[in-house]
Amino acid sequence: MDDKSEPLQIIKKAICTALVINMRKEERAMEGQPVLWFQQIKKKFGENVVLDGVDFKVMPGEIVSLVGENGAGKSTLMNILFGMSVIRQTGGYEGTIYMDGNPLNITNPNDAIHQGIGMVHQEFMLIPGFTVEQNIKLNREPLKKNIFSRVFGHSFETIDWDAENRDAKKALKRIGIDVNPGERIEQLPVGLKQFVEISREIDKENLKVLIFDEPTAVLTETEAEKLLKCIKSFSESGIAVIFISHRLDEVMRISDKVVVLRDGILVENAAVTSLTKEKIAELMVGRKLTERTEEYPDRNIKEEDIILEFRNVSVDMPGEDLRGFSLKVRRGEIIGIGGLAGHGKMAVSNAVSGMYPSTGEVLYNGKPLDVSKTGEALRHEIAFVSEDRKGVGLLLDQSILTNIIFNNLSLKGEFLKSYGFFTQIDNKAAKKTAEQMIEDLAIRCTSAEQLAGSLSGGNQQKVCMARALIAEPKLLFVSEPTRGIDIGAKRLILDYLLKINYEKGITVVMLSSELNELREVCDRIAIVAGGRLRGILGPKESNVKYALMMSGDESVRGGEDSYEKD
Amino acid sequence: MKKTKRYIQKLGVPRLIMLAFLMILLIAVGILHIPFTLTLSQCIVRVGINIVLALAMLPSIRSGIGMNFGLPLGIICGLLAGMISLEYNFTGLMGILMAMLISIIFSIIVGWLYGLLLNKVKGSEMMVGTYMGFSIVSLMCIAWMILPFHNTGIRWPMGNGLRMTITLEQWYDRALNELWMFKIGEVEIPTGLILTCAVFCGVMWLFCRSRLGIRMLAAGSNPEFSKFSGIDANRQRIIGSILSTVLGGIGIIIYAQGFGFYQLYTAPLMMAFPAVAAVLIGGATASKISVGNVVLGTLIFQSILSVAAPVASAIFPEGNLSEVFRTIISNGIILYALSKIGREE
Amino acid sequence: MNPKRTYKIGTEVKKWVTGNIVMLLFITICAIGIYFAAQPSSYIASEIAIRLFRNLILILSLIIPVWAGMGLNFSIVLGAMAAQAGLIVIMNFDMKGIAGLVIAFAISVPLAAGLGILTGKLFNKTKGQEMITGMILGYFAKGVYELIFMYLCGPVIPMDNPQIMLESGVGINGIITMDASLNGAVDKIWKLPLDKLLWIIFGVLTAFLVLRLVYGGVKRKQADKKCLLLLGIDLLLFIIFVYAIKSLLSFQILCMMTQVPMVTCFLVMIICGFIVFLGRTKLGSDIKAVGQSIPIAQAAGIAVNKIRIIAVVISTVIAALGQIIYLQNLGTFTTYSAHEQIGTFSIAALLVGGASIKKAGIGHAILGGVLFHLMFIVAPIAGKNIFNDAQIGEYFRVFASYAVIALALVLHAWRIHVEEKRKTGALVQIGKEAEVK
Repeated sequence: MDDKSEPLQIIKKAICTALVINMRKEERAMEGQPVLWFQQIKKKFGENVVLDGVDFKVMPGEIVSLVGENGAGKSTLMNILFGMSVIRQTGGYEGTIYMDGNPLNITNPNDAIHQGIGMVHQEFMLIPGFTVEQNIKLNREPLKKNIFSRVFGHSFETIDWDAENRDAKKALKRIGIDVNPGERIEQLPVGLKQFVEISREIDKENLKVLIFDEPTAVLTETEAEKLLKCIKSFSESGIAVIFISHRLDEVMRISDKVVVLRDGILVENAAVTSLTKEKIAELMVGRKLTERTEEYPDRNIKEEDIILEFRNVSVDMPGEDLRGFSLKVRRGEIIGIGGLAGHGKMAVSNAVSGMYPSTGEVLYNGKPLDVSKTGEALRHEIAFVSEDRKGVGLLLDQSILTNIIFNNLSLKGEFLKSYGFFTQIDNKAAKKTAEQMIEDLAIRCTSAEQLAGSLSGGNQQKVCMARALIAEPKLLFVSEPTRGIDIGAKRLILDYLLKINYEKGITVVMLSSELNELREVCDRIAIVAGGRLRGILGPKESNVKYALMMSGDESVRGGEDSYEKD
Repeated sequence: MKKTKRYIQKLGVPRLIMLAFLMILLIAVGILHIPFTLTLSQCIVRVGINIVLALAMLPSIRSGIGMNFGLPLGIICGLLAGMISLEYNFTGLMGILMAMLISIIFSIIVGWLYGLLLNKVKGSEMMVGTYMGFSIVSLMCIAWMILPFHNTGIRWPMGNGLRMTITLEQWYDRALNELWMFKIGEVEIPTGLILTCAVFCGVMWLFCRSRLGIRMLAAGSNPEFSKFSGIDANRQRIIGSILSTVLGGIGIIIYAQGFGFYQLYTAPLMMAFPAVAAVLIGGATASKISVGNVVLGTLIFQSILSVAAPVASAIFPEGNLSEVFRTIISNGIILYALSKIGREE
Repeated sequence: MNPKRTYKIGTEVKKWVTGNIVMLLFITICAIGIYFAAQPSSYIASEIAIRLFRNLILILSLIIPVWAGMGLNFSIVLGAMAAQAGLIVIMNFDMKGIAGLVIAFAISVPLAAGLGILTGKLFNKTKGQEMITGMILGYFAKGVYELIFMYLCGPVIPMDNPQIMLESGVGINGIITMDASLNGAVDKIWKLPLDKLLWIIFGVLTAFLVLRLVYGGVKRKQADKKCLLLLGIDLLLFIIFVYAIKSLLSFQILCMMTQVPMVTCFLVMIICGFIVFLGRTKLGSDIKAVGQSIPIAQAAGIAVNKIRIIAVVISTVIAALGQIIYLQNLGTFTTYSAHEQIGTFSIAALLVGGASIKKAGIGHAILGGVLFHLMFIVAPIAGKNIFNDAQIGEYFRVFASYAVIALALVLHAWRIHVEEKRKTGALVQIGKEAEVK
């Protein structure tokens, strides 16, 4: 546009706006009023852009599936819709959500409920000691007036048990569940709890939109089937449904429309009829490799030189169960373990570290490793950078120095001066090493004495790396190395992994939910889905193959044969 | 200006209030013409005899148990050992040493059992500790009446059981205080007591910097972290509990010799609270503590109490106003610390 | 999909025993005590009746905070202090009789409510540590209470009634003796011997059940059955009662000796009624929801912090009433220590009745009150008979109260510990099942 002709520009703009408004009106006339319209939603967590101009509509009675990888922005979007305090505390969001054409102003979950938005959570929001009917009518109990309530107010109205029972029965009947409303929640099997949650939402009279967050994850096949039928019936009665799921089969079966998010960007918004499972998978994963800052020449990795071998390992880790896992890690390589959150990949490092009990065999340099105790692996030149930085990764209220030298001090007795029967910490040596690591990894801090808890996420991660590295490991496990840290630090950490792998010959096992960073760094990537190893892929395999393997699709196979070929 | 502000922040509001209160009391001492030197002598002794009891909080907080409201368990061990030392008529420094040695044996056993119990009740340590302490103290009330002690000096002249308070004159009254004692002007300096305290504080300081101490610190401040590093957090907690109980036992012996008598029966019931309050005033929290906190806290808290006593009795000759202040201050600071725990979560 | 539940008698019994271990242990102790004390049963029973009515309201005041998930409310001591403050005020102005007590209560209610609000706010800052906070708060308040009544009354707060003030004019007497018009004013209004009361109770109960059977049982058949069963039990007890009153001498003595203070009895019933009523209201439901799970209650839109404060306020106000009833029955009280053991003893009594940190009801309070005071009555004499020293018995009952609380706390924490382990185990189980499918 020409800079000089300002008036002209204004006129042009005005015409454009008018046209747009007109178009929107036409659209509305054509499709009817959308019940929910996310208009250009943007959200940043610090420097991290997690939603970038997401824009889609949900029509009454429509089933919209929201799909994307972990961290694509689905849960952030739902948190915005429900006015969760996390959003406000991190600086709010941009854009507007319209409901029935009016901008929504939601400041807490209660507002959302009043507006007719309901949610069925993945983890149950039910009171275990209450009965089914009490849960269904929680805080919406039918009440009866009495003398005291006239004097002391609404709180003293008694609960109308009969009406409560009636309502609960009605709601349960509507979704076709045969359960006694007087039963206590804690006595119900897991599968039924999900349906109680749905009944509770359905019972809300003004319900317009119902959100399902991975509802089938805990259900058996028959239960899932029933649930899908249920969802269909809601949409027929005019309730809009937002369905969040990783199971693409289900998505294909029940949705009217599919919205695909990738790294906070809406990459597809189309009717399900115009899509295939493979297409969705492809869209979810995408391909957006950034450049490595330095290329390293080929290393000499021998297929038969195995540093660590898993033989039929099963791990009992709540929420991340792993069954019958077998894998050979070659000396000197960087191997990735990928998969969706909650599908068992995290159990791989936790089995070796001994944090969770496991069966099967783990061989290190061909000899069995005792993984029943924690600390055993650490003594065998294996180091870990944990995924749970704040939980198991760091001593938050201790100094960077203590955090860096702790394992060496505790396990190997380094950085200690011995005085006969007692020992004292050698602050001088510890400080020297810590400061060296701070410099090497460019940890931003005031001094080595600064508390680890006061560092930013990226710098905390670097402290964890530093601790792992001063142990001079031969094998390094890194779990979710870039979770929750900004792009600059991400790059630095990934580059550093490549560097130590090449320069020091450290074998790296990298566990991550972010497929792209795995494909960028790793030589091979093992995919874990549904608690099992699904196959091993090279970093250059197609997106479709990756996506389908991660969603546990049986049609795609890698496994032992592709492992041999690699 | 900014520097002072930061300094104030570092010092913390509760400590400032305490220091201001202490200043007011000192001014009152001046105005009311209370003999300052006597107060100072008393103050030194009070700090000295209380510091080891406060020090008992250090291993328990560092190992993750939190404030040890079960301190009476250690105190009971100390008292029992003290009674045995009296029964066999050990006198002087030898008596104190014997009492301490015996009490260590009892404390190790009791501390170990207490640690085992605390590992089963994680999250409720404070409440369980308090009521375990209360129960054992009241159970010991019966024990003091029926245990087979024969020394007539410690038994009631008539009737059953041991005396309520046992004056130590014939055994080791102020034995540590008077060891190498000298005077600066009118002020008595109890060298032996100060040295003993310094030794205990020094040992704990060295302990904190040792491998075991650092491992315990890790286990206390993040059990998951320590598990990952191959440390058994439960074991560290038991060690913390044992050390705390041992210090409690030794602490009461030092307290008793400086005070001049052993107090049995219900006397140990509330003894955990001033110790807890002292370390909290010194800047410790439910999860963090250093030897510096213990020393500073005991100094401030006991100074306030020993200065408040003459001031209060000068203003209100009847009653015991300083006791009321002690109740308000010590419980107030514990409440403050508790409200902070909630906020951390 | 229907869950099949199998009951095994063995496991059920074991579950009941472990659930009520505190009570069972206590019953054993009481039995031993009764055996050695060898006091006449009529004496014991009449003593229990007196003490039960004296203490029951205080015990009942603990129930609501348990519902709210705040555990045993050690801060009822503050309610007791409010009551004592009320009594001191009326005695300062020489108010007499039942009217005086009513005014004392009227003064203590806003005081207790205010203290309750502050306590509730503090509890909201220390979620999960309410019990220790309540206990320390009790000690803290004791200091403030002493400061006010020992040093500020007189010089700062204008009080000069020589009956309650120390001679120096500073501070309230250590022991306050109520005059004849206040002493037992509530109890004295109307007393009935036990046998008459029992006649009335059986009469009313039978009439009620019969009427209900005739008119109310139309709607639900199940209620009908329950009603019939109750009527049966009622009649059976009635027959036993008639037999006892006619032919058992000790029972006759008991009935003669036990004069039931009817007005106190009604007050107890009103508090019980209030608690039952509250359980059926919206407020009660909210309190229980908050007690079960704060995050879920919050997600359902319940104002958690407000509900918790209300629960504490109710508890503190009931405790104030309880303390007034307690003190008027005794007639004298020690100004600076009458409130001290109120928390401990009431809590121990409730726990003895089978309540726990998570669960408490009126039944627990009554049963606990009976058992606990039974122990209190027999312990000194039993101690004297066993060890030849009554003092041992007295130490023992203090020990028993502390030990009961300690045991309940340990059991509760232990149970949580075990449950958490089981929960992770269950999750693993679910994972395995999904795997099989």
